[in-house]
Amino acid sequence: MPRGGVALGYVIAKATGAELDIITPRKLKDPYEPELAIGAVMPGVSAFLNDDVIAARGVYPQYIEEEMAREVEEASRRLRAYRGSRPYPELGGRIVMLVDDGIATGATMMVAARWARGQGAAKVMVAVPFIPKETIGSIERECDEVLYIAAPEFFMAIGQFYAEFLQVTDSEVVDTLKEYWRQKR
Amino acid sequence: MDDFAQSGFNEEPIVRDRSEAAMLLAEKPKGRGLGPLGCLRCRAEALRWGT
Repeated sequence: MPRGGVALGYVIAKATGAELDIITPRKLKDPYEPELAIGAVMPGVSAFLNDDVIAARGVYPQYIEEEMAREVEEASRRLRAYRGSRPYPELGGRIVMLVDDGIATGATMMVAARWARGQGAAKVMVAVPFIPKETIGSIERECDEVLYIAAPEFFMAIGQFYAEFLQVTDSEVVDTLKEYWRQKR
Repeated sequence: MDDFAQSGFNEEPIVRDRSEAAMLLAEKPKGRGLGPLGCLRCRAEALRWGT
């Protein structure tokens, strides 16, 4: 999962011999507080909508539709920018591990897990170093296994658990993937 | 231990950077029902050899 998840995915793929690739789920932003997720989308899969947040915030259906269209387009654009036109590997019957550098609300991870299931994955695993304790249950309902280093109750931001949490740039993501694919050849 | 400490608040970072986080995740992950084969490297090996 971009962008930080690619750095972790690279290390885990090399350690386990797994195949590394990238997906681009996108958060659906609350119209008034863009940091707040009202759901998430990915091209080719039905959206995950956080109905409780949508109801509590009184978000209009028309806004949700427009936001979904915007973010699906952005997800497609990013996917092309990160991996060009390479065909996706066939996931049917395989074990898929979704990796990110941490989970906050879990919206993008949930839609990613649904996507992996929809691709026919035999098993969907989620691997994130840090996840709020209260979020584990909702992620577990969308996948077969959740792996983590710590699941604290007090969780302000993913970066609080890293001594060094530098922003990963798009070009670093592209370079990491290119390096992995070059080594696999 | 007071309520604040019990809340899991950690003033110190847990890992140095994303690479260390990835290695810990690969070698010593936590999760529901994880047994001695929790290590991802070990599980990948076991899958590869069909054991």
